Amino acid sequence: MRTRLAKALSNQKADYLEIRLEDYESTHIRFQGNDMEKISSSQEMGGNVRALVKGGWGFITFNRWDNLENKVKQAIEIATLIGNQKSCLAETEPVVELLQADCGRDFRKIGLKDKSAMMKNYSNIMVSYSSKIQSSIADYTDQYRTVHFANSEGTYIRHERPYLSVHFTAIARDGDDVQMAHESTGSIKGYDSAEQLSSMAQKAAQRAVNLLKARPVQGGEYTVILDPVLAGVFIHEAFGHLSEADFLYEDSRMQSLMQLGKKVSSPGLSVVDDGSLPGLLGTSRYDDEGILTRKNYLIKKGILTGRLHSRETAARMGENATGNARALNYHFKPIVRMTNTYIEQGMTSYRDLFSDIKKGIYARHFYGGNTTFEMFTFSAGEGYMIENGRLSEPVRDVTLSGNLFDTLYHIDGIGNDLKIIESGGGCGKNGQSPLPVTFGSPHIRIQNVVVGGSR
Amino acid sequence: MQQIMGKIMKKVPSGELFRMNYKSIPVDYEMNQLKSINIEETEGWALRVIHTGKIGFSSSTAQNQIDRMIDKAIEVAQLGQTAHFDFPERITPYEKQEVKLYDPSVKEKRLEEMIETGNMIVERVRSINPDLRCDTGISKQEGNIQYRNTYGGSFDYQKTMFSHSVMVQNTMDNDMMMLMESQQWGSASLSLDPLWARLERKIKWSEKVVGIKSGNKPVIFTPKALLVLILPLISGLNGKLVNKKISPLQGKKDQSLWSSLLSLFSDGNIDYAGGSAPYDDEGIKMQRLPLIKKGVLKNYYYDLQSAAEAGEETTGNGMRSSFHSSPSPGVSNLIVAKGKTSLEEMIKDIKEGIIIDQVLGLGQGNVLSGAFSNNVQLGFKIKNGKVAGRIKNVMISGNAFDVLKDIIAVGDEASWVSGQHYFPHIYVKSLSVSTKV
Repeated sequence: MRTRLAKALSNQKADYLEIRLEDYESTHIRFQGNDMEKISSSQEMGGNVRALVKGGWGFITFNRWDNLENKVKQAIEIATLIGNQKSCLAETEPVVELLQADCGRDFRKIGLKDKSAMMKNYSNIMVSYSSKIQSSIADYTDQYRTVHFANSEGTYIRHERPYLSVHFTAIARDGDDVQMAHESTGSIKGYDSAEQLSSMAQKAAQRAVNLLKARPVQGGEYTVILDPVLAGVFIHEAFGHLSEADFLYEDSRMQSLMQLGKKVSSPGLSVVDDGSLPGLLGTSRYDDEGILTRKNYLIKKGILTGRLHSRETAARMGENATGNARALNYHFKPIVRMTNTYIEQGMTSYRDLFSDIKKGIYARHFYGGNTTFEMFTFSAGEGYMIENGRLSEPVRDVTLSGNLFDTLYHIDGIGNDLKIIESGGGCGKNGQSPLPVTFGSPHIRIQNVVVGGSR
Repeated sequence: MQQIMGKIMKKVPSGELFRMNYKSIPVDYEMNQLKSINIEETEGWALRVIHTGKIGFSSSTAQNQIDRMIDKAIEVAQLGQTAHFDFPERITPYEKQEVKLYDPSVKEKRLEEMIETGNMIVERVRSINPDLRCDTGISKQEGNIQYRNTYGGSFDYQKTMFSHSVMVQNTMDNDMMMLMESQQWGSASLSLDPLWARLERKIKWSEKVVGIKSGNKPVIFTPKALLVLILPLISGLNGKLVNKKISPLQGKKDQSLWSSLLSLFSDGNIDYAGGSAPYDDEGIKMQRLPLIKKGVLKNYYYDLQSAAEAGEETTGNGMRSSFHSSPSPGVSNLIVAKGKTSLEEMIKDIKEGIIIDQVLGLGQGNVLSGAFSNNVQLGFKIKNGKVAGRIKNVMISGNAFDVLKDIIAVGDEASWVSGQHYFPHIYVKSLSVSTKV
């Protein structure tokens, strides 16, 4: 394969070229209640060519691996229509490496019957939890992907990428009131991570039933404590995306907003993105441009210290590549993405975070989150009122929202209980979703957060 | 395909083969500059079989994998869902003039023309205000769908799509205004004028940032924002969720649940609309299906399997989100019937309220229950019958099933949102608005 790709890339007129070929096979099983809802097996082959000519990118995707030379020529042709400046890519040493998947039990060797029986068991745990459980969804996906990447600088990487996810949704109903709770996990470590999820399935059911008892939260401004899941989502959504240099590098105003060395938060806060942490969902030895992943500080003790780059954004901003160019699959170009993003551990105990809160909200888990640059919004999957330092009644439909720059300054408590979350969902950007990432945090306390709700 | 069908019939008596292939060419501008051109070609095959009464499904991108696909589908069927239906024997041939889907001028559109349009859009945005950042995309697509089943049922059709999207952004200190408008259509001849009119009006309304107090206020949803209220209806009317009794709308057919000003249709027969097709993805004719008529729940929508489970006829709403997924109930084009009130009249009617144009976190909460809670990404304050300016840090929340009971007026004009939703403005009596004090 290496020779075949090298041949297609040789003697072409472009500043930079790369070819990615991918094949994968995958299984999907979904139970709704105790019934098998969907079971399927799919197989996919595809690839792309990306060409850079005078600063313009041409990009071709396809399913058939034949005529690679022609596809390269076509990509160059369209790149030429765009190019009108000097091409700019961060320098890197070419690498040649064959990366084997390092995963315990290979899910391709497990029969459909076994996978299906396991999921049926999880379904049954949810459905039989309470008579209030109206329905449930138990969803299993595995995918084994082999990626061949070669570029015109001599890099060739073959990468095997196993991925597996399990999602639980429990739906509880009391009259017209329907409440849902989700739990999920994702992993690159093989079939073992799908087993022994009984307690997770039960938790989904328990949370859905508990939500029936919760009253909708009253809208307003509160002191909020976020659990590691929601704090992780917050830092990923609200801040992480702003650190992605692809929307900064041509925008001088955004650059001044995100100038390195600037104080951006309360002094206790440090935020890291690290694609080299062993064995996590967002982990990979190389990114999708063949750059080694590494630990990048984004905020260090309240000061903006770094950002995430592709080779192009790094070169355009005169900074180093960070190993953050990632592509969901062959349909897409690599763009700047997060990997494993977390808030570093603080010193405050869980109990002390709560102690001086007169009236607040403890928000846990998440339904989802979203951001447009400075504005963010994310929904908690579970919430409790805090009164005089203690948890009181459960509340629901807790959606937090605000302006990032204000909110980072309002973080005034960071717990000592860092947890990295591997959920079965993923991150979405420019139509590339869900990209496997992790996020994490200790419990954190934020002052003056706007919570939507009835009045 | 006939050869492949032969292979399938040798192994399983009941099966359907679905093939789609399409080619998209997007031309994208970022930060006022032409940034990239893609050529994206996709081909996919899906096989659904009914084997000893159970459903099996497999998919692949490669035609030469067909033997493996057949074996996989049969293996999967051993564990699959019990089939309550069979594939249609006869599929009524469709006449090209019935619903227009294919415009050869889309295919003929040259890259150079698309680049010219892109340059024109950027220049026009910058002529409004040179500080604005403009990202735009012009894209063309053509696709082919083919369907065959083991009973001789078959259909084929071709479809084109041409789309423009414009994102305008203005950053000042710690404030950012972001406005998105787009239009998608099966024909390349659609005028950009309505898009410009919307864009220019909203840029003007955005210039000044104004404060607003928390409270319950009247709200106007623009066509683009209306999905906040419609999304819970889409999931609540889904026949599969109704069968499972997890839809709160289950058992409420023919009941008057919402304002008599609200009528909603799923309509797959509109020329050049994004959701149109002669058939759904199971070979059933698409139709104009009333979902809600004057506030009364008229129909749930079904695919073959969920209809059979419910003891109903399919409504021609069996949709595949890609070739990798088997059909399930989905909507084609969604139409909210127009009303009689102009946007100007609505604004005039409001002493203090807001217009919502874009929200963050659409579909992020418990959609099934009807609950929504969204950050207003782009919204405007109305004060004494006039638009006073843009609002920030505001959240709206409520329950769509309740909010739709109190519609004051429905707009007398509608516009296409993402080529698939034809929505008017909707003016509701009261919504909870939360903001920083």
